[in-house]
Amino acid sequence: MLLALPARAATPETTITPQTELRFGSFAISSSSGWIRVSPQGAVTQSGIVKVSSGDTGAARFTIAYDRGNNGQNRLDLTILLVISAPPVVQSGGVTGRLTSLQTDLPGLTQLLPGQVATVQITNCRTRVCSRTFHVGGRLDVTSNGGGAVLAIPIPVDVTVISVR
Amino acid sequence: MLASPASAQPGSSTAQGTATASVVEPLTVLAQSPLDFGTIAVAAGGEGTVIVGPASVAAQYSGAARSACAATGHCFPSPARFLVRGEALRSYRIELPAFASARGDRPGSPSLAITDLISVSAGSPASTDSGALDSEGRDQFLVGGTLSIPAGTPPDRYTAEIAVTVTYN
Repeated sequence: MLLALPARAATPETTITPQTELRFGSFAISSSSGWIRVSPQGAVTQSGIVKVSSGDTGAARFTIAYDRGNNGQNRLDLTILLVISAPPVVQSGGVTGRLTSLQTDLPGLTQLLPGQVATVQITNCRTRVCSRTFHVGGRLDVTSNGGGAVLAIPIPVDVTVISVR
Repeated sequence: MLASPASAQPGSSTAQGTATASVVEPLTVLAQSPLDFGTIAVAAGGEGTVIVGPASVAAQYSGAARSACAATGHCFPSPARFLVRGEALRSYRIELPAFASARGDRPGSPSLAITDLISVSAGSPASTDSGALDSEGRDQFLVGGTLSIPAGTPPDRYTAEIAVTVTYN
């Protein structure tokens, strides 16, 4: 007699994945300082900045995913907490870059203040992996003593699933 | 016995996105020498022009205009010279005014009109309105033009400071 062993479901897994960078492109600073802003929709505004190339800007894109660990199709409604930590000020080659005024296109949210807990809902999920993609824009303030540099500023993001129904 | 579905457990995740920017070195231009038409004179009652090309060695005289520079003098014509510095291997645009004015060295000399200003850069010799920075972020361009000399203009050495604008392409 064969015994059927009960199938064991995999442990649910939550991930947040950066899919594209927040790109400010290539530019020169008109005097000693300037700023450039990219919105979550990709719109660009600037002051004291002279762009030297086009088509190289864009908002960051992140995807939050919850893998229920099985192929069940029961409806899931998820509540997820999202926190972005303050990006550090970076310096390179006489250039200083500061990333502030982070914004998002998540429903019900516009600004993402560092340390602020934002609530993200994923509702009516009937697939194994429940996911939501969102965009992040921001403002980059730069100062320079005359040199040039390539800046890479980290954007730390944490997500926690607090409710699965 | 039926296997019970695993109960869903909340989870967390941390990731790091990135913001990127490429800040290029500012573009600067330094005037090294003016546009110099040299010492010129016009025949009595006549008018003329002097063309100093950005790349040509000798000036071209037309009408009643002629060079009044002695062979041993330091008064021969020469184009204006500019030094450009910026991000290595980038190209840039040169903007020249439509008109300029040349002044004589002697007090009271008249102001003479300059037209057809044109540039040639060492980094992009085939172009008349752009340059190219070398691997050290440097380039040099010359500017020439056409000087109109009305009748009765006193002999003098005529030079002009040319205002230029350079911007990255």
